[in-house]
Amino acid sequence: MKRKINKILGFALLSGALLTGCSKRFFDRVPGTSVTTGTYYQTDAQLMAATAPLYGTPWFGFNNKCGWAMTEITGGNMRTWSSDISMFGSLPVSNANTEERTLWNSPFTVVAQCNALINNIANANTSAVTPSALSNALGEAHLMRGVAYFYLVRTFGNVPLIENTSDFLDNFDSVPTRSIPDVYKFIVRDLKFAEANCTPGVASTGHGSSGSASAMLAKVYLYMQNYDSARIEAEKVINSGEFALMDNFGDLFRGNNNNNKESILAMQWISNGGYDYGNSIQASWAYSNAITQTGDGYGSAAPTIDLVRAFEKEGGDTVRRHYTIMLPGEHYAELNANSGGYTLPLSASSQGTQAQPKKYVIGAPSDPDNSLYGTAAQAGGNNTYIMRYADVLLIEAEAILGQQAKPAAGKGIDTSASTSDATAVKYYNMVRKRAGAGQVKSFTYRDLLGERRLEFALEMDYWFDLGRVDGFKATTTSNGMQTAPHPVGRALIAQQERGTYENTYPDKSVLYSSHLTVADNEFYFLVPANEATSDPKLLEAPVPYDFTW
Amino acid sequence: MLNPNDIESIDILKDAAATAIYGSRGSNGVVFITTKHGRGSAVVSYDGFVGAQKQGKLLDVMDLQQYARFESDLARAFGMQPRSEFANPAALGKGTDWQKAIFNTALETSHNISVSGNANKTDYYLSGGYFDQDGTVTGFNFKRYTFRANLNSQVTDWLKMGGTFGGMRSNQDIGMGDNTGVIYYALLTPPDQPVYNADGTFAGPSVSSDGTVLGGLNPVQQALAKTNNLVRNQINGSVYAEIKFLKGFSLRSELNGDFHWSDNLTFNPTYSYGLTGTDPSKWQSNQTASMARRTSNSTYWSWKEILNYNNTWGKHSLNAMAGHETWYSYYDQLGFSGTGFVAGNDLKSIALATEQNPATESNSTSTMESFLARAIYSYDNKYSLTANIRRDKSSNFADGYNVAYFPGVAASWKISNEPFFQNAKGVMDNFKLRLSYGTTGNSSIPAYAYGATLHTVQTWQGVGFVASNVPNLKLQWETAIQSNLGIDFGFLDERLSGSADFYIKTSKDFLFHQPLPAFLVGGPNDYDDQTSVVSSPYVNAGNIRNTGFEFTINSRNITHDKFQWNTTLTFSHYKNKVMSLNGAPAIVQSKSLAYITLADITRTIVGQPVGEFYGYKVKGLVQTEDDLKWLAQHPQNVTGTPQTVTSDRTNANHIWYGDIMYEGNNDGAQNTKYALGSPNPDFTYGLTNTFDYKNWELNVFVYGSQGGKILNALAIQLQGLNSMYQNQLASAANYWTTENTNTDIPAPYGGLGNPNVVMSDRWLESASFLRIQNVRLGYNLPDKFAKKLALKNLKLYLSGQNLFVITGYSGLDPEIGSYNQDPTLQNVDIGRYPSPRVFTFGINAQF
Repeated sequence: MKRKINKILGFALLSGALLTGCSKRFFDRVPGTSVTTGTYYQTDAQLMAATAPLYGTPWFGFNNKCGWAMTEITGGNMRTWSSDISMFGSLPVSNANTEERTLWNSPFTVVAQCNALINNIANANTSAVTPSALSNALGEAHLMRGVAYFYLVRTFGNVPLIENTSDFLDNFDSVPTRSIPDVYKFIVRDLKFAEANCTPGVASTGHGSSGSASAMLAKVYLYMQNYDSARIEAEKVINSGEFALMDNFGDLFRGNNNNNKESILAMQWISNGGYDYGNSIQASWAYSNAITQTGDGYGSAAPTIDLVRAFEKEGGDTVRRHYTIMLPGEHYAELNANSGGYTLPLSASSQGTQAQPKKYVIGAPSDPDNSLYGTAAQAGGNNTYIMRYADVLLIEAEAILGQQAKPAAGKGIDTSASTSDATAVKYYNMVRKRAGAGQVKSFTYRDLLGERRLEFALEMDYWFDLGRVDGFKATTTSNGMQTAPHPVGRALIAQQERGTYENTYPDKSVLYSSHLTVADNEFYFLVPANEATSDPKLLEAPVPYDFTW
Repeated sequence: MLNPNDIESIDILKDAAATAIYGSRGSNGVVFITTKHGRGSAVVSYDGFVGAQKQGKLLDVMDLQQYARFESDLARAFGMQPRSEFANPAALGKGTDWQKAIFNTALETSHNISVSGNANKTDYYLSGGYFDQDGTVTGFNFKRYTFRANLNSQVTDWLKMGGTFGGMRSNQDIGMGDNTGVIYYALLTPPDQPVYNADGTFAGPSVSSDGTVLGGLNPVQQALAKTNNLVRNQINGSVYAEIKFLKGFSLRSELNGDFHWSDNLTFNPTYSYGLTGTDPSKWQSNQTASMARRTSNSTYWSWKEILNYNNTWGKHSLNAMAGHETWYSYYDQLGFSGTGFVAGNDLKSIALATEQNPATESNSTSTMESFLARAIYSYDNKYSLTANIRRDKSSNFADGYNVAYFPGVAASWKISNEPFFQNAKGVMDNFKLRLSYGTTGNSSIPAYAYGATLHTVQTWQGVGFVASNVPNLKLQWETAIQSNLGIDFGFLDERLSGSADFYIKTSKDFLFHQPLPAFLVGGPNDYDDQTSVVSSPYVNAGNIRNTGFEFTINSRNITHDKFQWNTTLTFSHYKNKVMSLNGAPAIVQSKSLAYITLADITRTIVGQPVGEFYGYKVKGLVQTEDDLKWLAQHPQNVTGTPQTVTSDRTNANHIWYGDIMYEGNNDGAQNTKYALGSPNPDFTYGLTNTFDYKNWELNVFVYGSQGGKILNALAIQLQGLNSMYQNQLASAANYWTTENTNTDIPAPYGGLGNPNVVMSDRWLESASFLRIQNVRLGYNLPDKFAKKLALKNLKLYLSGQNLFVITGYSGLDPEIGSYNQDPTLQNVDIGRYPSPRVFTFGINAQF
């Protein structure tokens, strides 16, 4: 009997174990908490949640340091001794520098996410999505890809154009760069797609609108010196009524004024997501913790003596200067408002210039200006402008000047060229009036560049202006280096006083003067070393891009 | 996590045919741990020890005088005014020794009690243990509680059953982690910064008159203020039944389960402290406390059915086995975090956060099913043949790619049992030849890595979704193919015995998380954060071949009945070579440290070892006018731009890299990078000597490694001479000055990523070392004394672990390992918690 039982037992277990395999479901282990591409992009709300990130965390690296290290420090508006970014002030920035790498990585992260979105939507079941939501999502992805490439082409010149990561998995070491004109052509194509597909009039929500795309197009055309098209796009924006100047310049940089009527496109930050999600500029720029009340405020970059002098030269330009630069002893009632405001100490001179930045310095969590979006350590809730309406007005003014001046191919508008065109002067004066500067009857190109510098100082734009004043260079040399002449840009930079005062305010008696000589090939940054090793073709001559879609 | 006291034996199986049975988890060899079970009448044992741990090696960093001189020179290189208080370094003291401030001599204690025995065909083993280890670095602490019960019973003559049950709880203060942790801070914090103010509060750096903070956080304050606590609980158990039926057949059914919960709490409190007399708004402070709590749980179970058949007829014997195995593993993590703890720093509850961050959750499941079969035939104890095959199916690969077959064969010939060999007996007692060929699979990649997923990020409109990764639906099994030729031998009455093996192991289609350039998937930002980088795909990256030779020799040198001396020598040598990358480009690895990106530190290409170091070769320093003239005409192109060295540059005395181009045989446009050596050692070895004299026993274990390179990445930060207000190694104080030209260390050069700190052989050092790992002196109390104490047995011992390392390596420890288990990032030293020197006194008592 016993024998029998154990035989039966044995065989029963045997057959159970050996003869039946596991069912197919046992191996289908899609993670229970991750969304897979196969089940997403199926509702309007899902598409909105997929485009929202394109304005935030992928830009963090660019916004955190390298963006302003390049545009402001290399551009001559700020200076620093901080070793991670000091090379941006002295040039050359090595291709092994972490911030230099981030200049490349951050916008390319935006590109990668835009591409993923575009390609995933193409493969998704979107039957339940309303057609307008679908075209808007694709429009936003094209808009932000175009914007990212606009930063990349202005920073690095010729870069690879990628529309689908999967196309290059086995040959990523032989992806060529595309010439500057090809990259611009690509950007224009993306922005036109965005203009046609993005929902109009929604920029106040923070998502890019059709009008945001038009405004970006105006700027891109201006860089391409296509003044006619720049005007068409700028006027579209002006006439649309979607945007307007804020009444007070200072209101542009109050934490609670995200996505205001002047904001055309912005990086959208939050204060409660921790590092990577917030605006960390204040942490680096604020003179001290007494402003931020969050333990940061390192004063690690400060306005140059040259920028301070440029404002001084403007004479009555105190409103704009006050909200751009803090000077020793100056009082800001809105900062530290609960304790009666903040006064910059007389000794403040963290980078030896007797001046500290104010733009993007928004104050403490308890300040009324931060009641809506907050601020935390390394994470302000305030947006970073990619473009605001004042830019459109100055683009329109410059395009009119350009149409009149008709610069030769490959040359910028002559700096002494002047216009008194009523429309140009009207828009030019609108910007100056709000800034607290005097009205003019005409202006030269030099005036306009100065106006742009003061209006957008510390807003990550000036270096790009310096790079374009010598015209749209349609050439790239055989080794992929950009060596086109930049006589005007070089001269403007050579004049800048980038030095330091030995003593603190008001003693300016000892000035350690410092000037920067920029070589023609230094107007574009180097491809990061690790990228060039992965793909040596990045250092070779660009290859024409196939634009057939 | 097993209590070491519960281990009966550890066997390591490397032979392919032997590992075949363990499948994918055995592709790198099998460590076979047998836990204790009872024998004979009940025995109560106590094992305990108390030990003192101390950091063996400290790095020699600059004292205040050296630091003052360096800061002044670096300030000049930056175009800054040197600090006036540093004008006369000789007048300064030595300053703070930060390593001394954070390293402590720490205590460890262990107690373990067990009862074991065998009665009525049932053996049992029960144990409980406690281990408490203070950290040698402030803020570290580890406590572990364990219990275990093993039971086996021969229920009837045909049924045997048994089981194990174990539990563990540990409570650990992790302190501040590795390379950005407290040791790293201590090394970089300047010596002019005191630990405490006169009133006993924490001090901070001094502040210049224009408001510049001349230093950073206080490492001691950070180590004490920050909480990083990890509690782990684990329960595991197994039951089995073994049934004998028919003749020679048996069936073993086994169920295993392992359940794990852990809870990690981090808390960064509010603080504000600074040097007495400085402006409080420039103090080191944190106004908003933050907290995170991460809990995870995992479940693992497996079910095995093994059918065995044994038969012996005449000189033949056959063992055949067929089996089926299924396992399931699930992991889940939940995270909560918040900021603003107005109720104070002591109440570490997430519910008290004034600002709650969105919760995070992730989970993953992996499953596997295997069928296996094996037959071992042997004849006359001379010849043996083994054949095996298994079929594995894993959920880690997509349908159509998830099944693979792994066969193996082995043969052995015990030559010493042949009649013709009998004359040699006495000289050579044992001689066996082994030959095997086996394959095993590897599927150890994250669950669902082949598919495309999205993950959440925070946006101003709430949660948003971004692409997580590039999918690879064709991802498939990696196969380890191992051929092995070995001998076992014994001479002179087994006085000298051992084994030697020659093997070739090929990892075919090895699984690898292929790095892709940032222009395809995005790239990390300056702090290596990558919330929205599209993770590159897992791929079958190619074939790697390891060719190796290893032997073990046991020698009983002296076998006197009062004095014995035994020696065991192990030796291992292997060569690693990439045979194919499946047509994909070279694998180039970069690593970001806190402030430094090491671009292209290793390169893996066909024909070379995996993870070979790659970069520039240093020729020396630019020293003379002639050097300058030559370089002015031959600009160096180290960091992307040709750098013309001119005599008016303050950094004229920088590093001069060797350059194939100018040395005759390259027409490239830039300085050439070279393969700079492999992280793999030429050979490794271990030597154990045991001396027994009457009741005394002395055991000495040393091991070492010869050859191979370490990338001392920590030195790039500690010797870079490029950042203000950070201390550096004392050896770096020997930098070039007009008075000190006979040196290989360049002058301070401001800015990160400058040409002096790029990846070059300057940062590579020999990885060779010899470690005196363990010296242990034991004394067995003679039986007659033991009996008086009512003891069966009492052993006392003194031991020293990690006593001494002989190495040329200048970092903390030459044993580095690979970063994140990535084979292409081996021996990259980014600083980690070093293993201390430990002296222990212990007791083993049996009642």
